Amino acid sequence: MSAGLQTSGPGVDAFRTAFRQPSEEPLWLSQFRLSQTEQFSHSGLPTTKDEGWKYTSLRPLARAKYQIVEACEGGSVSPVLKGAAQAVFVNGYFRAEASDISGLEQFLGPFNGFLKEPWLENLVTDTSFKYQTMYSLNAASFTDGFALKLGADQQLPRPLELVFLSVPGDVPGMWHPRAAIDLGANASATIIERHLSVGEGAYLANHAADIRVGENARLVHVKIQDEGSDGRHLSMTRVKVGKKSLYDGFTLTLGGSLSRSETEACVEGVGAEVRLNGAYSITGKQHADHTSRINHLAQGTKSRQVYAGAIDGNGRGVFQGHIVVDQAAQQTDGYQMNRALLLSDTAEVDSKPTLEIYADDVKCSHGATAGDIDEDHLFYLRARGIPAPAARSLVVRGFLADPIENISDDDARAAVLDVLDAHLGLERL
Amino acid sequence: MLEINDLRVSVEGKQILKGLNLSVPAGEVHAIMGPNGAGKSTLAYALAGREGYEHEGGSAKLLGNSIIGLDPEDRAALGLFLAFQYPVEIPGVAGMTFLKTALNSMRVARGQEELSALDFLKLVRERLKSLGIDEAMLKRPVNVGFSGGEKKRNEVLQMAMLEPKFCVLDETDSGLDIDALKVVADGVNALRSPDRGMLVITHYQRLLDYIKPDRVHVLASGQIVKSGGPELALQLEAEGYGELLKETAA
Repeated sequence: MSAGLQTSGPGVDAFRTAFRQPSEEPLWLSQFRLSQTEQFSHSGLPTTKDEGWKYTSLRPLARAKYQIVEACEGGSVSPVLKGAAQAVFVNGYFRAEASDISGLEQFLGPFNGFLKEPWLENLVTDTSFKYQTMYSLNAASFTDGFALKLGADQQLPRPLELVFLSVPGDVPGMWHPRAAIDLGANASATIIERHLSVGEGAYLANHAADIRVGENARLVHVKIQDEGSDGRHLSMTRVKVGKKSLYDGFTLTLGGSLSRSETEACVEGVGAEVRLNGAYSITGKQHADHTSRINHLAQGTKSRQVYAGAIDGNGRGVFQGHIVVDQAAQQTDGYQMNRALLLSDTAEVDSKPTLEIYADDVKCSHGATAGDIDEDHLFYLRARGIPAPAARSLVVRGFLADPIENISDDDARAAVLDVLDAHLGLERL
Repeated sequence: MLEINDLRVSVEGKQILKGLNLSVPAGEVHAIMGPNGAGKSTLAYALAGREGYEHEGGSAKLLGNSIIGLDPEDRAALGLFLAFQYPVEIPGVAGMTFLKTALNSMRVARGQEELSALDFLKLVRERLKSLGIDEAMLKRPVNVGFSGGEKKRNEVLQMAMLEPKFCVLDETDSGLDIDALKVVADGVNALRSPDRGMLVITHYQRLLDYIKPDRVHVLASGQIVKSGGPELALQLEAEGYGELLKETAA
């Protein structure tokens, strides 16, 4: 590492203590960590001059002096999905005693308990994806996480709710939880991630996930980020989808001072479909970034991205969606749309949907809209006796419900709406 | 019940209502007819408290309470209901949620307790049944993709649920064929009662075949220029507004 000091990129020193010294880990993992550590040390934190980070600055991360924390005890959280298994992580560490994963032998945690699983190396060291700096930092630093492995034709007996609870302490802490999900052919699963925090205080949660959806398999992957106002939340998800499979991803962003949920998908199986939808409601000085890159690599593949955001106060929303259609990916059907509702004069949104197409027989479209709340809507509701603040919440709810309707699992969709309604102070029937 | 005196209202700097006088006692249904541009919809919106409708003089009282300057929700809580000419589509908000929020907001504003989910459901089913509306309509987002007839029936359902003291019906017949018009009129007629007043605003006489008014007023150039019994509507239908306006100008 000493040689790396001279060439290290911006902000690297702030994270050096987090780099894990590999021991008792399989050789492939040690090598993986080493290469990712070197990459991160070289490139450092991205700056707003970097492609992909123009609208989101990570500069504050270097100044925050986050420290790696020890495992700590953590409370329980009542599930949003009835009948779901629940795996609880506190400050990045899996807490078996707070979890209910009985009968779910497909769930593997803590992470270091199954690093010798043969399928893991293949999934984690996949080189199909673009370099992503915070993913590398996670790889260099992760201490815990989970894996989920479904064999061919397997169905997750009950949905899985993953609760990532952040409990900030006196000193700003950081954690880098890791996830590995592998669905065999014809397998299906529904996963809800919930990101929450208890109490006040600064921290950084830097998640990374590697996901593979096998032939004809189906994964519904919903993420609800409702963290505290001092929390910074970054996540990088890498997804590979096989022939005729479906990855149905959804992100609801409500909390955190700075958040970025990024997904890169390789749609490499003929007839596969990827959905990356999302909704966000932010205010104050919140910054919420949703970034995606979808690589269409096979014929007849489909991608759908619909995001809707309500931005109040000095909030800033960022959407960057990049669709790449490989020469081989004829008859690709791609669509992306970001709609923003600006609720104050100081709210801001940056939308950058882009297409990069190398095949000649494709159907791709994209768009972005930003506008104020519709006064006709407000007046109609108020004329029925609904006070202005509640009328506004109802209109926002209606606006955000649009992408939520795309979630293919009924229970997961209802759970997301419940969380949103609670956030907006609305009661559901 | 509704007392309007010398009401002057402007929109975007232009005076539309120019000293309007109108009195509707409890238990009566009055119709306001008038040519395009007379100020019919302005009157409806000004009564309901829409932003951009500037009060420039005169008074409007509902049951003795001045409604001038009140927010739309406060007017609703006092018992005023505007049935919209063009009911607004609210995507993503289920009709059921909307109705419950509206009803309970008003109950809170009036110092009553909120209805429980169960009591609300009981009430809404009762109303749906009496109006012959399928409950499925309330599972859909408010007015989204509704036909003209469905939208107007939804307005009547809201009226039946919220039980206002005074209803203003703005061009309720627009966009309706005769069958839909009959259904909507039946719904409105069922809500006529000795302690409720109604103001039916319409361009055409045909609505008044189904909702029979006690009085008819003609609105032109921002003022009531003539008032009479139901026969006035028939006269207008036969002669058109032109004749009558000439007559009153003379």
